Amino acid sequence: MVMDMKKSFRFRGAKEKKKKALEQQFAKKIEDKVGDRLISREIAENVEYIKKLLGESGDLVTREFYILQDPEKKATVIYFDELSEKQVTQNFVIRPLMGWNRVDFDKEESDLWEMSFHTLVQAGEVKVETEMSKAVECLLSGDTILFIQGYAKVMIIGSRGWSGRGVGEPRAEAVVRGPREGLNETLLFSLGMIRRRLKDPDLRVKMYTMGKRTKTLVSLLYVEGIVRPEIVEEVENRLRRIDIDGVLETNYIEEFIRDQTWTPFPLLQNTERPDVVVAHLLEGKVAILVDGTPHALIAPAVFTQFYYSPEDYYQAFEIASFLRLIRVISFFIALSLPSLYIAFVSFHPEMIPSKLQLAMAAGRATVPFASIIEALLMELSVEILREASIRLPGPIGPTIGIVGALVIGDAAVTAGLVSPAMVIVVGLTTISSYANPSYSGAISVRLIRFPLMILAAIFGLYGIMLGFMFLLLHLVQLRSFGVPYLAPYAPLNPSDLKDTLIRVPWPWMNRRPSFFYPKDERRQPKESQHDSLEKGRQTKNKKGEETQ
Amino acid sequence: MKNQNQPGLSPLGSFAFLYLSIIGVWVFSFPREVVRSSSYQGVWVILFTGLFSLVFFYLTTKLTMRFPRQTFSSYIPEILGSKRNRWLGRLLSMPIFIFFVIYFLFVISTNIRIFGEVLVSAVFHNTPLSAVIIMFLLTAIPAAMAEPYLLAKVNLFLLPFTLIPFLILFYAAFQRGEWVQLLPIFPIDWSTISQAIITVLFAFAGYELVVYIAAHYQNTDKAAKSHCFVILGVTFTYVVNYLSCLSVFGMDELKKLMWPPFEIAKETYAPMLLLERLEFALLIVWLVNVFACVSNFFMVLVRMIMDIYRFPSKASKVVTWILVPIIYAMAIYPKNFMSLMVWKGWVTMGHLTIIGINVILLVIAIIRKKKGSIKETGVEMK
Repeated sequence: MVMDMKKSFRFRGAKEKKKKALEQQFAKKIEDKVGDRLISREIAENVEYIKKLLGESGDLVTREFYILQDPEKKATVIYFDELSEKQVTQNFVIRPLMGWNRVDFDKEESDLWEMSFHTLVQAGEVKVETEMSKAVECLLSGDTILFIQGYAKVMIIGSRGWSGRGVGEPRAEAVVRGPREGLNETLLFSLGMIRRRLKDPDLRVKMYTMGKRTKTLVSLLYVEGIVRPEIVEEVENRLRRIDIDGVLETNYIEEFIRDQTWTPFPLLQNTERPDVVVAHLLEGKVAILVDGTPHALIAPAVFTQFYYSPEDYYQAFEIASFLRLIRVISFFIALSLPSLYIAFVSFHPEMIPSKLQLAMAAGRATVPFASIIEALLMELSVEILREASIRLPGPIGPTIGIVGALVIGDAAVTAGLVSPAMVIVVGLTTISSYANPSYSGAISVRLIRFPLMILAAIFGLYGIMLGFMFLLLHLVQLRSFGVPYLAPYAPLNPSDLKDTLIRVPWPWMNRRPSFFYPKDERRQPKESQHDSLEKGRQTKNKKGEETQ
Repeated sequence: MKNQNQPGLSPLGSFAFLYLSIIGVWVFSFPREVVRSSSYQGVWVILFTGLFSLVFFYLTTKLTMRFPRQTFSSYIPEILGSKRNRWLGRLLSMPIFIFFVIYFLFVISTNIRIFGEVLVSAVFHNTPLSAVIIMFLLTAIPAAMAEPYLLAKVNLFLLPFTLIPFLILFYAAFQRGEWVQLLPIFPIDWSTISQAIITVLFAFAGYELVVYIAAHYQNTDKAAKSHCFVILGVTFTYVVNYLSCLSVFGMDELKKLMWPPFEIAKETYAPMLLLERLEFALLIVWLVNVFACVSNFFMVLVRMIMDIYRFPSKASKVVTWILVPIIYAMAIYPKNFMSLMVWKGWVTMGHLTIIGINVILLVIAIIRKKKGSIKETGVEMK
């Protein structure tokens, strides 16, 4: 017995040791390799070190030359072939340094480094560093580095430039009316699009580098003076805690910083549209952009806003309100129609009108399965079709999706595998789930549908209702950065109801949503502006009448 | 970060919480019991019971307002004990606490059982009662673990939905009801009424929760007003319920119906709606009501036990899971419907006793001049 315990202790000790070793390895990987190594006076030593560090990479370009054709003044330029803009390096660094347009240079009096820095290197963005780690980091980001013999420092010339995707239309968030520009994979382009729309000196952009290996640029955007400072602080705190080797998409960050891990509902909003980002910033939220992905994260998020489309604000308010109502209905259809079908067919056939019930029973007469199996079969096959149509190449995708659904559905009905009513239910459900403007919101509904169907199969409407109660309890408990997820409904605030199920016209929306606790509550002065506009219009009309 | 909006119950939230706690499953048998106990004077009985409850609710509110931000588990020992011997207060208040716990357990289990009975007799003819009850209890568990203010939010959210059954009742009364059935109303027979009040009082049980929940109010001063509205709302609801049942069925038929509102929905024919028969729709929407009632009581029960034994807030999960089998056993215990009705009688007795306890406590508090101040926060506001 004692032996066993000892053994287990020893075993545990070994495990601990291994764990520690792994931790150390992780820490060592990136930082310790370069460490605090300073740059040497000898060029050859530096170049050799960098080459060795990067494993003699084939795409690393090193160019050795003499400054001003003087063989005693050796210099070396290093850059990555694919990451840097070669025009900059060649025309504004190498050419002037080599002395193509020769300048008068008093060899004895001037310092070669100062001379190169101030006159010869003609690039716009140049900085001087003495640490090797900084040099390597910049080199990997696409900058060009320049060593000069005899100087223990390095010149870093900003020459980042790589081929990226042009500005495209956001595919997942298409609108009929409104800007068609989408955010870009290159962070700086995206930031540019946002700055162009929001020329506010209070717009703050904080940059972070994340990912021990990827060194991804992450930026945090907010408008100081609108956003509640505690929210920014909390987001910053959570961002700082992330310690991972790579950040490739915003979801890497989303899963680290959201309030609760176990929930099917998205606790942060994401968008591809710069106009949406600006709209959210103006509501007192925070946006997180990651280099390498066009999707921006918006925090905090509330449940209802997943059902708002940017178009709601670009179209007439009556139409927007109507469309929102449609979306709410479609939400409930997507969530519960299959389960309602199961409940009605297997538990409460007396509730549906008798003619319909007869028709449905006739349709189901040949179906060999229980309604739950029938529904699960159909729902699953639709999910498979959906998934497949995303992977299918280009233009065939949607076609195959529609054809597949039609053909398979029709064949299944003719073969007597499913009832026609079931096909209608599945079709409506699928279409309804596409009415959701947010993909992450829609996908959570797709997920919740299945447990509801099982509940309906066991307890009918009773089960569905209990499922709804459970969902409600869960939703009420959720928070996104301190903001109740069901706001503005669950903590009820009448002034926030102006932009919920109905959207009132812009002149009436005086306040920003209060549940994000904005510091600056007003969007516009209280009706005065509107009134004066109205008055102006009236007087104009009067004048017009008088002149006539 | 979490404390940014003062998380307490707003007056509206407390209204929703208490309203839904009172109107639980009792609504189903209410019209029958009123008619049986009071024959033609039902309306008066309901109104007077409402008045009666209003008075006692006001007294209970007064008691809680003397000790703002304190739950009863901290102020009852304070009222009964002295400053020198704190243990004396705790010792004297122990029987009261135990009584509260037992009473709450009774309320929860009877509610669940009656709703289960209704469900099984109406739709789930082949489903065992225990399955229905277990399902209900399992769903109530997360509610029981929730923070009071969150549960109040849920109540507020559900409140509009609980009005749907009354729309159906209204509709039925207009469609099939007859004014003549409501008569006679006079003369008032005081002896019948006074006896009937005791029987009908069970339907107003539920506002006892205020002794716990008042500690979580944002503003204790405004409580009295919203409490008055609670009783007014409940009385109105019951009057509507009773009158619509009476107008449709008449007195003699009503006496023999098991669940009159449910029967009304059966009688109603709504060609405009998608659904052909409304009774189960009514039942399902009523589930919301019962669920809110049960989860409110359950949550307060859990919090109460934690308060009495000074458990840390993490223990709520453990306490809830310990209580679940007890409630289940109690819900399943009555052998048949008759014994269930006996249990319901005990609930009425328990309600009366608690009213009595609260009044006595108030009197003692006034005599001994015990008063809490806001600075002495018994409850940690979260």
